[in-house]
Amino acid sequence: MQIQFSQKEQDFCAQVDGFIAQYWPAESQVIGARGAVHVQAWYKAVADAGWSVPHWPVKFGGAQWSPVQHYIWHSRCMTANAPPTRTFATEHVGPLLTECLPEELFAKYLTAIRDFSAGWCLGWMEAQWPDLSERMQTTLTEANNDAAQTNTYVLSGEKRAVLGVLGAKWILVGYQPINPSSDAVTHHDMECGLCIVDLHAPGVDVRSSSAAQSQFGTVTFTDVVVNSAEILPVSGQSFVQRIAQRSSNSEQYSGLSTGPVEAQAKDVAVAIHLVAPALQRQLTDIQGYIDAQGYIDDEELGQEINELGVDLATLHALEMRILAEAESAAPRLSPLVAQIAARKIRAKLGALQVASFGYYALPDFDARLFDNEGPLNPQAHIYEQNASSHVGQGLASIGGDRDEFELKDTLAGSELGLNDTSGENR
Amino acid sequence: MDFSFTEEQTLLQESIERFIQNDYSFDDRQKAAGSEQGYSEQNWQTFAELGWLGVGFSEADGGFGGGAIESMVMMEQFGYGLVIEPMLGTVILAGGAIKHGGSEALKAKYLPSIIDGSAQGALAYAEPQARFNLADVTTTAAADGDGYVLNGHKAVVLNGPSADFVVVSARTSGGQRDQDGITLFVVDTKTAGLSRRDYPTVDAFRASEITFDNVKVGADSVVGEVGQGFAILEHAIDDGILAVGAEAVGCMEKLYKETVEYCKQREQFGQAIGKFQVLQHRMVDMFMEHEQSKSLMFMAGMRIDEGYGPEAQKAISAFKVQIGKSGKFVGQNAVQLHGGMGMTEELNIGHYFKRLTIIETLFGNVDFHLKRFGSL
Repeated sequence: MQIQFSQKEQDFCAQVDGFIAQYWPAESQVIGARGAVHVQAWYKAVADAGWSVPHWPVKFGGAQWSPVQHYIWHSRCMTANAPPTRTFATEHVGPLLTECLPEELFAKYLTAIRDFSAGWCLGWMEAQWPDLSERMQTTLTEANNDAAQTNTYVLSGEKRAVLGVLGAKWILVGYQPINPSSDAVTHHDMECGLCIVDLHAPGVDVRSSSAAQSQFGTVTFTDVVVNSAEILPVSGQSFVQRIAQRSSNSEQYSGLSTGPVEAQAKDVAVAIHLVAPALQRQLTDIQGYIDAQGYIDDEELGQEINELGVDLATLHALEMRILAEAESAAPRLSPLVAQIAARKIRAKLGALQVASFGYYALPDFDARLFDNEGPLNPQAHIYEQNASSHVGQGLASIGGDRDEFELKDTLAGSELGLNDTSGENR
Repeated sequence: MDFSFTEEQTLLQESIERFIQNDYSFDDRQKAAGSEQGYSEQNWQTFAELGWLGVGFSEADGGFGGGAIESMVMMEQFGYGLVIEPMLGTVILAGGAIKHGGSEALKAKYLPSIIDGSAQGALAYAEPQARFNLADVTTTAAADGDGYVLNGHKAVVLNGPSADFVVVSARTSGGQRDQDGITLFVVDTKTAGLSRRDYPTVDAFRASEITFDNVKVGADSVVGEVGQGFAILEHAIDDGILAVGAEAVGCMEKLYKETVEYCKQREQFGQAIGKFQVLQHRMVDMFMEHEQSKSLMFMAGMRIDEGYGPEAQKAISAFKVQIGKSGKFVGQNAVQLHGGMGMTEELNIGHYFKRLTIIETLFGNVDFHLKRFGSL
């Protein structure tokens, strides 16, 4: 057993630390102090360094990193509060497109993902959610093509709870083909398909949801024209299942529902999001806020902070074990254990945030931005946005479909050999 | 970074696992626990022959050169088997204090006899008023010619009834709770003025109240430097936490696995109760508590082997908090899911729970280590 990184890995640590110090210096690391200019400069530097999509195939811009190198890069970024490079686009859309997009479209889509110049979102959830056995109401039909406009289709329907839609340029839409005679739609024998739609295309209407999280939105498609090249030859269900397998926060991608998830790939440590460094940073921020307020002497808060510290030490140990076991022949710990533990810590962090903010937990930060009057709490303004986002994160974990119960069902089967529960026993 | 065991560590683990499986039934354990000595001398000699008593000592001291990881591997298996033999009191605590701070002469005098199984030891550090504060010491050691005279009362000395010698903390200077001024001494339990009151603990182990009434010891019995015993004591206790924590991890594994098997067999309303989702999730929670504790155990063991200091102490306290909470959860739910049977003397479940409950309190409970964690 050995806790230290190898010399080669330590050298990589130093390289990453140097990069962050240069492009995301300490003054940028408090969220309240960061500006859009800093964020853009950061993304440009990451893309220029070739570190934006290290997990992609090399020919598309990947870096062939080991699981430990991925961990070093992402954990250092999390600790520095750097803008995230693991986005829906870099994590899920890009790898999908590299597999199935026609080569002539690589430059259009992949380059924009690689340099962070265009956001993506997923339109999956519909009004009849969550019963996935129902057919999707969003439909794709073959257009009445004329000689000038061949191989086009028409998309109609509505997608709800679309995460990140307000900052996105493109959306992946799950649809039901209703023209089975068309080869373009049915040749991959799927229940529902996926297509790419420009959110600024005619017939697309985007509205912000009035849910707790303002980054959710509803997208309506009214006879939107889709080219056949933008219809992806994959099953929509397979794609969302893959997202759930590769993400610790699948619920954040517009309410996905999947079947049992099992750790199967050697790159599981890369695939899952190791989040302990990010959560540790959040706890540090909250502690900073409490220190600034001067009531750290509150014994209960102090005890809660210590408890969260231990919880995070435990999560860190779990994640290190998962990471180490990804490259060894040792029995493998299910990443779901870390996933459930992280979920609980997020909820505790949100609660601690509310407790430490007192009355200043009440105002909605996003709403405050509109008056352009600056922070409400003059004593701790640099922590204000950070803290507000923690409350939101606590709410986000409730909005998902792949909840703790489902994760535990999976563990009961895979780790304990207990039969799947049948409906009447639930 | 590597979380896998070496070949030697795997062999050690497998040999203890085999012993527990083949030669250490729960009935045998109960029989040994109920004997006058409170453990099996035959088993103890077997441990010595198999080299287990020397695993944590250096080759120079007659051991096998293992470190915290090896002790951790061993104690986890002991926990799985609910082993009652006094590995903690003799090897980890008393032997550990001498290993960390003793002179070459002291090591030569005591360690070989620990390793070959011929001597039993104990660490007498707790006092009635001290709760978990290692520095709260009223036992005194006054200079007397070339040696010292010890007076005081040590509480709940683990393995006290069988100990041939005790390592005792006494104050040679400073105030009652000062870390400076504490000195460790090795005292033969047959020394005039040392008296014991022996008793079993809730988990069937043995302990003693030990009174020192003008006990005379030579200067050569001092462990480490005069007045600087606290650091040695803290190190030995942290080794003890890793050991009992690993034991707790083994206990938890046994409990959740036995509970799962029981729930697969036990039928209610015409089907196995393990099919009920609410019970499945309870068992998943038990499994998760075990895995979380085990992960922290690895981290704590590696931190200690990396070099004992604040980082290792912090990891140890985090581990102690986790096993305190997890042990209680796993133990309570194992009993709950077994129903009334879980509380009977005949079934092992309640006995594992008792051991976990004692471990939660040993060397500082959850609240104590939360504060220590926050202060480091």
